Amino acid sequence: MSARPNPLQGRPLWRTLALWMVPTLLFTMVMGLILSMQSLREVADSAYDRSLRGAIRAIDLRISTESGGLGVELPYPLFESFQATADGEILFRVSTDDGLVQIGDSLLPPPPPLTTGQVVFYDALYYDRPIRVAAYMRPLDPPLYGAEGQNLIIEIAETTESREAFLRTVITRTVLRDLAALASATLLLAVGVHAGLRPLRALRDRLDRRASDDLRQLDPSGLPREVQPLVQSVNRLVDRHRIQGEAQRRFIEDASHQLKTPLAVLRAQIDRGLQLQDPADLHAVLRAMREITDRSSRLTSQLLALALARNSALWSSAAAEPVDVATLLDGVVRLHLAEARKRRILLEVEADAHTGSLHTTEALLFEAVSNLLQNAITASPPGGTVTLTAARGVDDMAISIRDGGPGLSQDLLRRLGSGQRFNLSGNGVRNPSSTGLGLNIVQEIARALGGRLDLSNRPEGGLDAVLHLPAEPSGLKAA
Amino acid sequence: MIRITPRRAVALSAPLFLLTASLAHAAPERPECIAPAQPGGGFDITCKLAQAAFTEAGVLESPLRVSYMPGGIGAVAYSTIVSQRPGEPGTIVAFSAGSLLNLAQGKFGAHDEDDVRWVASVGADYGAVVVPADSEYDSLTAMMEAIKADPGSVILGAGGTIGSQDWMKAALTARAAGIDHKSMRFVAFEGGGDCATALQGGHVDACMNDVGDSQAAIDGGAPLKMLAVFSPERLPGKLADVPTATEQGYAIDWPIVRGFYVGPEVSDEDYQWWVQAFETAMQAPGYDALLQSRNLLPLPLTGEELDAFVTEAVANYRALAGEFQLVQQ
Repeated sequence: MSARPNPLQGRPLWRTLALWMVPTLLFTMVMGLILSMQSLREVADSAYDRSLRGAIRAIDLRISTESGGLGVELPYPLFESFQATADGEILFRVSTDDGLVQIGDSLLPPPPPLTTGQVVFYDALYYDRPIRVAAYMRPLDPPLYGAEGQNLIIEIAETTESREAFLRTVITRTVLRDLAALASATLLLAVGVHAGLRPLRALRDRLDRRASDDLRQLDPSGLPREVQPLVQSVNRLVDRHRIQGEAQRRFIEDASHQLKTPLAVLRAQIDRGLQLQDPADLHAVLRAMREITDRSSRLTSQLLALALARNSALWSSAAAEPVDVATLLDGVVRLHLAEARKRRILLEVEADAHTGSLHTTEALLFEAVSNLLQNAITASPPGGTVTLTAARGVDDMAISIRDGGPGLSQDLLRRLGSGQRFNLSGNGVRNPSSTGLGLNIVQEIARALGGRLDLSNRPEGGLDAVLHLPAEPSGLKAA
Repeated sequence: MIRITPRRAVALSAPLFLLTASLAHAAPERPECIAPAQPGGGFDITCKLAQAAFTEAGVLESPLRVSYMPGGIGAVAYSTIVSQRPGEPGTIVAFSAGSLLNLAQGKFGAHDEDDVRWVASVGADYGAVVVPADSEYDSLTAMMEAIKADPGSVILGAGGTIGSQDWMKAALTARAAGIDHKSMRFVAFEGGGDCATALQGGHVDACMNDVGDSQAAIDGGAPLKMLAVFSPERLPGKLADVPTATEQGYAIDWPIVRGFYVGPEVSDEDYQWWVQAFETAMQAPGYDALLQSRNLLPLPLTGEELDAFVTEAVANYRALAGEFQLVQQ
């Protein structure tokens, strides 16, 4: 790793996996080892015990009571053949249970309670050395010197070095085997991760080779399933950048397009003003110029609002919060009250505290409703009425603004309904204070908030603009 | 400690010379000497000595039959004689100081020294420490140092188990050397003969045997050597080269009386016949040579004298066993 020219920060994936895997495997192996040690010990014990049992039988055959005494032919030659197969030392003791006779290694620990005819095996210590003892008791028949119920006890002990060595060998082999398995598992893991990450490296290379303005989607096919959500996330990010880029381009287009005309008109006014001598005429020209400047300024702020709406749709989903619709409508109406009063237009709000709230971005919703109300006030004849209604549906909220104006032309409604961009230049400047961008902005905002804008001419005259918004926040809708 | 010097033994036996009348009573039928161990040990030597002495003195017409009844260094034979064969007039059983020691510890079962009739002692032996001729130990001191360094490394063999006279010799030596006698590694055999065999096989490192059976084995060609004898002074003859334990710094004497007893219900006539038979045999001119050839010293005690000797010896041994916490309840 250190040989790399640019060492990367962060832990390699295979090492993370190994950190999880290796301790678990080690734990499993150690547990397995402990269990197999026990069973191995039992197997070794039963094998070695069998030869001890054989030695007991052999010694038993060498005990004679024919003379009336108790004679044991020395078992050492037997032990010699016995020790040829096992390292370590053999100890023995032949005794009567009344303690009268005791032949052999006197200091062997006393045996546990014995049952006649059964060989009992147990572990003990003899001069600090672990020994395995087999003890066997049988009745002496006939008993010595006429005693009653006399038993003969034969004990054979073996130092456990050889079986310990056997166990050590087996365990060492097992441990080595397990460690080798562990090492190869880790190696395989590293290799496997390396191989598994090859599509990712290919993806990285693909991304590295991309032109900076290439915002096409990545093809997730061929990539591991676990990585596909990541690719999809990257794709969504790329998408947002693309959409944002488009929005910015559109803003620049809109702005340049919209500002071209007022700038040209201003230029003409200035040219005209320069030729005028009469201050009164010049004043009239300047007033006209001021009006154009005002309108351009409004246009600019509305273009900014439009761009804001588009961007917000992309980036500000986190800004969503519960918004009380009645309060919001109240605020919007307050903003436009002065203008409405100037034209003696009555503003009616049909919403109360029970209307409820929406989970949405308040600033955008405010901007949309404000735009619609502005349009309605502008369109209403003096002395007319503009009605704002908020109605809660099953899973959406409908905010409608009705006016008593002339409504929109069928051509315009069709173009707006088909989602076509509001052709500003073709709209004509019917109302000098309208930028012609208002409905476009509202449409944009409605889409950004996951809803839609329905426009319809009322049979009794006037326009009914209804903003349908989902009650629950939905996924972002790219413009 | 019992010290039997030849001088005292002779003094004790002197009055008996007056009683050496002719053997009025007929010899018991089927005379038999039981050596209560495996062949080759001290009991065997004792019986063989009686056999030879009786033959030489002409006391018995046919040689005394020797049989073996191993088990507990005489314990089995003692119990058998007391409870099963108490009245057999022809049966004498060999005993040694080891038998008396075991009696003192209650190791002969529920019997004491008054349960048999003590006939005669025929000689005295001494304890000896025997090792293979090629042993790494050339002195008792060297061996005790090795035990001190690692008690488990030196396997001591002996006739009889913990508490036997052979063990007692080792325990006394260990105590003199400042070693815990309980830490000694001990293998018990049925008599010194088995121990000598195991010694030659390399299964034990040293035998706490007696001079008599050890020298017999050496004379028989066994590759053994004695590191020490537990006698107050060096022994005569070919044993003069063997140092005493006292010389090597362990002031221990361990004389071993060897003799015979008969069953408790043997009649006075038969008992007296055996007493007189032994007296006759021990006065025979060739007896000293017989003793010497078996590396025994004379200790001719018979009848009541032996009774008194045994009683005193058992009392002494009982005290000694108490010191080593050996007495059985």
